[in-house]
Amino acid sequence: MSFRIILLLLMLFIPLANLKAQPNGLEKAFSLIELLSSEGMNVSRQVDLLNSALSLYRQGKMEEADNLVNTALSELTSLQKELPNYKFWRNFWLFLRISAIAIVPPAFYYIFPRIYAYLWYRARRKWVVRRIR
Amino acid sequence: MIVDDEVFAVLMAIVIVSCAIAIAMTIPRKTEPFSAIGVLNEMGKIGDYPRTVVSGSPLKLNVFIDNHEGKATAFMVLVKLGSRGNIPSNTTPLSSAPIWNYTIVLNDGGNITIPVELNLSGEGKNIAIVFELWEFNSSRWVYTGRWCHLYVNLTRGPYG
Repeated sequence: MSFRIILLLLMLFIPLANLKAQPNGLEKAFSLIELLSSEGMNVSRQVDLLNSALSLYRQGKMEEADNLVNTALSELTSLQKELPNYKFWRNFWLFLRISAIAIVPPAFYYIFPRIYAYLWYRARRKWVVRRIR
Repeated sequence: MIVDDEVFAVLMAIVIVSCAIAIAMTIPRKTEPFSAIGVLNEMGKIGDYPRTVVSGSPLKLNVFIDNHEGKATAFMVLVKLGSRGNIPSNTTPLSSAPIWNYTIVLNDGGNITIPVELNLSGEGKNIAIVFELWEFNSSRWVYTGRWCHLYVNLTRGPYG
């Protein structure tokens, strides 16, 4: 008998527990958005989804809002998995850009006099050397 | 050398300085993060705020939020009632319970103007309608230290 009462109580509390899980999902989504956007990832779509979900919560459309939060959360979770790769390529391109700029002064030092000399001679290639007495 | 040494030195200096500036601009910098909140009137403008509110009739305002935190952030605006001398500080929010709240997520550099409709009841002079800005930071809601307030006199209506 007591087992049935416990089972009944559990059945009553499980939906309540599910309801309480919703704000946690929202807060987890907020945390992920904060984390990913601070690393420079584009989370505009997920921000729009969460704002739509918040709007639906205000209208009392809990189920639709929960679905949007879950969609945003799953997208954010997959973006989080891409984060190490994203950071690697971001740092790689940054390093490449800085290296490309840093190489300009030595390249200019080496190449410019040669190009200038080449153009100088090329501009004067039709000149004739004449001995002046 | 065909190029004059002095001319070449000047050209080298220009190239080196230009490259140094270009590198400095390429390296991402962290700007000072900040967020802002502002109270606007019913038309969404600064000024012409209501001074007297009839109890039970809707008070229409707008709240402006601006995000420059360097990341997308979830904000919550809490509206609380205070009085003269009982308003929040930069570190402590007002202890009274919120009468209205609004949660929004803003991209970095994003802003929004939210219409607010409050229904105040009772009677009193110099009631402070306080708008506090909270942000979701490190897995919890944190008071940003930004707030606005508007003093109104709450009166009973002609049939109150």
